[in-house]
Amino acid sequence: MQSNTPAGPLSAKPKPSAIRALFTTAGLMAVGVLIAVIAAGGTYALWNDTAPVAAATISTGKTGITVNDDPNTFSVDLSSTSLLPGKSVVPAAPIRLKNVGDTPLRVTAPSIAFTPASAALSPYLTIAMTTTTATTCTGTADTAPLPASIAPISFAVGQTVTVCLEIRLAANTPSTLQGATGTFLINLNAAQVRP
Amino acid sequence: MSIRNRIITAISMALFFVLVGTASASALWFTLNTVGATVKVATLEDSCTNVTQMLNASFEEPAINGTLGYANDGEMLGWRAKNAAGQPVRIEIWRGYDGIPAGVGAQFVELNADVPGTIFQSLTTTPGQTLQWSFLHRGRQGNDTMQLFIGAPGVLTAATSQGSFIDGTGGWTRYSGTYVVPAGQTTTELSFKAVAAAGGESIGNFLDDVSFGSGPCVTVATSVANLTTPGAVYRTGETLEYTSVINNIGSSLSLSNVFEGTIPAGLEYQANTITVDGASRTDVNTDDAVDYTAASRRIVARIGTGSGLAAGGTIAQATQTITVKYKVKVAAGTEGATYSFTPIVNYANGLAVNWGRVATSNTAAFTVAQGADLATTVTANPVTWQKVANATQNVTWTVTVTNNGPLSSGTGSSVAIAIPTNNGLTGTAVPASTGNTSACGAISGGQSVCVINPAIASGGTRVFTVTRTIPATAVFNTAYTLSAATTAVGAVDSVATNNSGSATATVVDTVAPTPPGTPAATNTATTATLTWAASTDASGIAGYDIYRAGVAAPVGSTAGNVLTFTNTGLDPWASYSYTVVARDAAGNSSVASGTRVVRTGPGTLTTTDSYKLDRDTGTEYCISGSSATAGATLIMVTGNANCNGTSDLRDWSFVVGTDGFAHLKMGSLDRFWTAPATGTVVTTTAGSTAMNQDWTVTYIAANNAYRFESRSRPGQCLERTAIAVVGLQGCDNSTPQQFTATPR
Repeated sequence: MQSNTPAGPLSAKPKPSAIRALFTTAGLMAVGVLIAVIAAGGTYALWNDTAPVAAATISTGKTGITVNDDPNTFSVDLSSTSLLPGKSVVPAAPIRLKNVGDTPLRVTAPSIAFTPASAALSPYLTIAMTTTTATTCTGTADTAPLPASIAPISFAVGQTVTVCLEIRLAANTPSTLQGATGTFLINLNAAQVRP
Repeated sequence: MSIRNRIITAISMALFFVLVGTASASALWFTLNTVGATVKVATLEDSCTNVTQMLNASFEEPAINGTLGYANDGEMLGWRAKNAAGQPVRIEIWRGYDGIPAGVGAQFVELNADVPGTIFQSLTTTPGQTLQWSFLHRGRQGNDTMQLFIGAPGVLTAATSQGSFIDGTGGWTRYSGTYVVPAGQTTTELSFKAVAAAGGESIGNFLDDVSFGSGPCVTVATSVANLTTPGAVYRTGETLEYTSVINNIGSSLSLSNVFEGTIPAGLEYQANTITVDGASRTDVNTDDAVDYTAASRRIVARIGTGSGLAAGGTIAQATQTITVKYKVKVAAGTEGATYSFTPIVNYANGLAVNWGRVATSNTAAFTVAQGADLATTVTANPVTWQKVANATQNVTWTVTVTNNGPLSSGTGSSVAIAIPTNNGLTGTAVPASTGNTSACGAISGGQSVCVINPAIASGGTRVFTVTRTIPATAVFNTAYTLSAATTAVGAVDSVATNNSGSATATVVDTVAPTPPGTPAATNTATTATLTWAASTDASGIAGYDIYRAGVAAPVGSTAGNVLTFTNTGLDPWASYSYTVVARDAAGNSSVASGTRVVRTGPGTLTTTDSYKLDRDTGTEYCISGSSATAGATLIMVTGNANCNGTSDLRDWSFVVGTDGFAHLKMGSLDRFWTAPATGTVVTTTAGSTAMNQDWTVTYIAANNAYRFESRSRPGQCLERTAIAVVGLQGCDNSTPQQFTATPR
């Protein structure tokens, strides 16, 4: 619909109000903070490359840990040896962990995840991962307890450490679990050691 | 960019770098990976299927002579050995050599025999089967190392290795584990290889008690047997015995074996009848390895080697059998009921002691017979009778068959009646059946068989009678017995214990013999001989019993044909009263005969001598007449001249009267002691047969003295009452009433 209001004479652009300016400033700062937080909280890919910051260039390092040369995961099938109450099972050969990054690492195992199908069995399994220099893994004597937790392992750049897994079935495991299968993953957290 | 915006951008950049530099810098530099595994819990539940066992697991065959020996290739049951080149070698067997005991049994082997060897055995296996292995290892001169391989025959690789085992000389060490037979592997070989030995190539690595197989597998076989009436029919009231035989048909020891069973209600457990391998056990819960709890009707028997109050023991594989037995009784009123008993044995596998296993027996079942219950009773009338001379006696026996069962007896059941066949019996022997058509057969072999026809309905009865005549010549106490036994045909007799009965009629004597005659008697100073006239009785005199007054039991007995008896050991000058009682063959006793009083003679005193009668052993006092005048008083005098001088007044002789009593005579004079009718003064008067001159003389052996009791004043005895006075006083055992007699 046409406006019937006649055009008025030319006039100066009205000045923004103080309130408007305040909102604009706050909005710009919020955008800046958001960018900073996103960057700090971290996509690792951001640190696998270089990015120009102002007039300078910052070069990032890279981290990586492989298990038997696999950068993601490695699993061993020990189901051919039946577990008995109070007994352990070990793989025949140790597992190789290698620091493939360019910074020293400290590897911890903060958690062990069982598959849902292993839920009934998992309370009766004790899992140990210990470093070894031997070429074969041997089980701990039945009468000796397994370590209560997996000790951190420190890696120099490029270093390979061999470890043995040992899984023990609790002596009080109920007979209803005969034939049960348990599958688990130890989450390895390889963190840069601060220079 | 406005100044304002430039300022904002600078602030944002600064904030960015602050956050980068301070907010968990180390956390930012991490990476992740995972390592995992899959494991599987063993399955030990299939040890009773596809049972696999080793041969000669503890090397007991061949048994060697001595403490050390060898078995050439092929000579040891189940086992062979080879060297590193695969060539057969002999096996070294130890049996106590060097003082080293076997781990199990008597023998074991040494892997380092002539050379380091591998001993092996192959078994037929089922792919997928979980087998359990176990062995004992020991070093000889230090730490010896041995390796176990399980796999296809001849395959000794890392893949088939079950591990290396190092042991010293401290003792036997047991190792155990499981092995899952791979797909397609129907023969599995177990190989023990000597790896290293402290003593060198030919010294070391002892091995014993190898087991490899499906683990322990306990079986229970239960049966029930009728002890009362052996056979397949079980009736109320009968005693049965359950037997459970327990075996371990597996390949290793079964542990903690406990037999359990609940006795079905309706069966009455017989207390303390449980036996284990023939040894009796009590029901008490605290004294042995067997318990019975009445409230729950449950038997618990901890069995096996080493069993006790708290836990079951072990049962060796293949070689050990345990038998548990106990008895029950079938309760009344259970006809037709079926009882099933399924005991179990709880046990454990040594590889997983907490995984209890249960061996369930077959069910031993039986059904209590349901049918007729032919109860048979027999009565005799009369049961006893007194034989009367020349008279016969009729006796009637009644056989009653009652069907107490719920079903009819079935036609064709019968009663075999054995008839009394004593000599002289007359009358109809063949039983008569009243009120029915049952027929009794002729006597054959002393019995008649009566066929029960028609059948006896539930609750009904059938009666048979036999009447026979007992001859007049029947001998007392002869028994005439009729017995009957019922056999059920066409129906089960549910109670076998009441099918027969018998009754006896007996000729008896209830009349006592006539009393014996009053005995005559002769006597000496210490004996009395009695003779009596015989008694008479219908069944004859069995004997006579001789009684003496004052003695409860007979002082003697004689046979029925002996009519005289001598009673010995009597006192002189004493009076005894005798009676005789006759007994007959039936045990009846007659009334007593008349009484015979016997007075024994004077004993050491004679009737031909005269005596001085003294009172004291001190100053002598003796009995004297105060004068020779008739009626003079009897007194005591003293002095040698008086007592030992010559005077008729102190000279006394004993004269035996016709009635056996003593008369005391003064010297050659016709003067005799005479008791007063009243008072105490004794006088001397002319002799007579009056009782006041009769005296009972009693010998007091302890003082070699005599006491004089007046016959006319019973209970009054002569007593020295003062120095020179003598008179009658109440009889007692005091010394003033005792006088010595010295021949003059």
